[in-house]
Amino acid sequence: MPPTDPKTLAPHPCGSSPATPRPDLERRSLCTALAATGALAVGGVSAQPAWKPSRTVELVVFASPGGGNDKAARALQKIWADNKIVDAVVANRVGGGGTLAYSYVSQKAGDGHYIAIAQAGILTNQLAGRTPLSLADMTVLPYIGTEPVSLSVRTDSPIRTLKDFADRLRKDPSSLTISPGSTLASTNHFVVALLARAVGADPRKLRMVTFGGGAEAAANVLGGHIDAMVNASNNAVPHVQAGKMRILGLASPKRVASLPDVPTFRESGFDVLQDSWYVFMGPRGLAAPQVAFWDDVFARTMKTPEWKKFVADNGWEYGFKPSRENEAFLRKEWEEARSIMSDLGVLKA
Amino acid sequence: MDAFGYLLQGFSVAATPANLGYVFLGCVLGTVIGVLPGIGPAAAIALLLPITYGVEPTSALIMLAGIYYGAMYGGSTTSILINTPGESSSVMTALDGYRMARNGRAGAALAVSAIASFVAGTVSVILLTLLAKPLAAFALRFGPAEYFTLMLFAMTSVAALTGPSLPRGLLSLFLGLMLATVGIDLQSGQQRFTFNLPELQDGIGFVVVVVGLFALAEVFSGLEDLLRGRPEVVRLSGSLWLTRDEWRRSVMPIVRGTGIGFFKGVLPGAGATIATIVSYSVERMLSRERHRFGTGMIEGVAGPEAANNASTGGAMVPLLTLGVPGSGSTAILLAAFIMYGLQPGPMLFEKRPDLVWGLIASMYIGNVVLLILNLPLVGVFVRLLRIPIGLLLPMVISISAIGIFAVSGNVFELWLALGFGLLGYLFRRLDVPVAPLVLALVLGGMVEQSFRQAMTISGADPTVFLRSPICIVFLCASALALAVPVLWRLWRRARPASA
Repeated sequence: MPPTDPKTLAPHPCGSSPATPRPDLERRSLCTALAATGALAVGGVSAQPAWKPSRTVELVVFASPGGGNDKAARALQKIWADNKIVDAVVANRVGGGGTLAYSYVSQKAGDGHYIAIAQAGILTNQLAGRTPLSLADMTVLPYIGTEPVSLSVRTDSPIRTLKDFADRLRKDPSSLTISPGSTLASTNHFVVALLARAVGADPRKLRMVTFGGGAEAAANVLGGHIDAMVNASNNAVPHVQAGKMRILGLASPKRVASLPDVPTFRESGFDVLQDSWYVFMGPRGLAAPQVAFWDDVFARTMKTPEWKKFVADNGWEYGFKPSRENEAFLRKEWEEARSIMSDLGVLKA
Repeated sequence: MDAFGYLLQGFSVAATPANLGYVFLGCVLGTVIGVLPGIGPAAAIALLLPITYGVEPTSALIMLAGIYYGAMYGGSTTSILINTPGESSSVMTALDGYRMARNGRAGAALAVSAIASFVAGTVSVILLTLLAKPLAAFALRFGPAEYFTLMLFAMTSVAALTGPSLPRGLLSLFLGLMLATVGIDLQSGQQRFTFNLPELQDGIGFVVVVVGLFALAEVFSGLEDLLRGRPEVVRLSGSLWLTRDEWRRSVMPIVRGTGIGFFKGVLPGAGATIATIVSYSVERMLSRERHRFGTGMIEGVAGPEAANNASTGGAMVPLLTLGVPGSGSTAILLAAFIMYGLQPGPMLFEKRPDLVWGLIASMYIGNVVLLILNLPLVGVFVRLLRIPIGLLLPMVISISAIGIFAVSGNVFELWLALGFGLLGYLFRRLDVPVAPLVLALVLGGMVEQSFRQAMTISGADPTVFLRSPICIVFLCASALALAVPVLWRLWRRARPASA
């Protein structure tokens, strides 16, 4: 994309390519008229937003600097600055598995200058009774991608396939030690719980061990201290390449480019689908034009080569859902999480 | 000669003018960050990451690594001068380093830290060059059971730090263990002692406690002295350099500290802080003047300072060979690797030898840079002691507060730090040592988690702690660490003439 003047990029002309300014007055007045009726708010990504930030946006992150979602936020902020899309700063609000960041943003009711990056904790924190803050207290913004979740064992493990693993769980769900990384009742944990449920084993009897994070779990699998780990496939890939680990399956809807030989759980005959997604959330009560603005920003960001590089480097899968679609998706995820957490006996809400 | 040939190649990468510039920049930044209380190397590297986007990955990583080990050099400065550790790994340095400064030997304490840091830093890079791969395999043998026994050993070392009054030391220790349980429990996902405050769900941050107990408590008692009109004036006595006797006493602690630091650094999760605790207590145990530790013994500065720097080289072993970070700072370095599209791990040495060996070679250069940088700074830093207390104290408060807030963006933590400041002041008035609390806070969580991980894995069978030789070695060492002082006392009592 050629270097573009911010004026032509930020409020981008109705229905035209962002790179070419169109000083067409009639078009512009039509745009304004449409925006005033609010019709554009749901009009999708190519429409001109009727709202834009009047000052620096605060991109709130719940990890400390350098942590998982902080990385993604900083990559976005960099892309926005380089391409003059949005003027934003990253703010770390660490604590409570995201609860502090979410409630901070939630309280800025109606202010589109605050957005938070969110992961499954936005649903599970409430379901586990750790916070009263629910999806209804925030405005759902776009879905920006996912990390495929994989189940991995050591290369010399007697467990060769996902079926072997499932058979062990069926006979005795506590015969295997499995690490979901650092958090119980997380999407990683759900993958094993769903697998146990699929073979008729009690998910509560699973022997789950948490560690400081995915890398630590990997070290414990490699050292033979635990049997398996279930986490973002990026944790296992380098060890698979070195011939020390085997990925039994991916809980994604389809195979991923970086691991062409690894089957999905569904291909292996188990109906387990669980992604580790990243979404954005805004304060409660955002107006339609504000939502439309962010839909537009993210739709454009996802198309940049820098974002595609980030996705490839971090083992993410490309994915984009505009706000409205994402909201329906999150409601479904909430129902799903509720059902699994009830099976695990950790449901409090 | 494999490693040597690769290393020479590495030097050809690291010694380009641009990369030399990045080494220097990283070392300077690291020193500054190490000096500032509250901002640790982890936060600093993370905050600087975005700036390095346009830079070539090798150069960027050379600079970030420079910040990491540079901070270990700088961390001792404020510990020694104003009893405020810049990082958790400098807590032990404060115990005797600050007393040395009070005794007028600030120059010697700073100089010995710089020298110990240089020796240990360089030796640990040599060990990294030669032993990276076999050590990585060894580190993998540490599972939860092995870690538990290792932590147990470290805890016995903390128990030895309780000072002259055992009940007071234990009070501090147990308070630290209690504080370590606050937050969401990792193994059950349940909240413990959070009072439904989301701010407490992730536990009480180490930095908050250190800033409160050390920096703010120092401010409060300084304020008290000021108000009572008797501010303590520190005089420098003798040369800024080490005396012959100080040299003699520092050599062996540096050697032992280097060994301990490198070994602990290699083990993921153990980290620099534990290395300094073990080094300090080893020096104390071996010393004939055990009772004088805590009054300004140079051994208590030289050992831990060597240990925390040696751990940086050690921590690079699991990071580069396994992609497993050993500490908060190396976790951020891992994030940096990934951000540049590199995956540390078994394949990195094969895929990008230029980068790995360039980075390792840059660490040799960096250690020399840091020595050259830090020795003249001794003369500058001791002048900090001449800053009027009324100016110095507000500076300490604001720098600490910025450090805490920059990382978490959380005002609650500032109040918490203030609370710990008051507690620290109270402890001082009552003559309760603060170090056991701080160290128990770090170790307590790890002891508990590794114990429960091991029990979960074994199905609640306690013999899991006796199954591996590593466990047995550490259990024996723990027993020895507890028994030796007692036996020593008995032996001395049996032969009063020789005392």
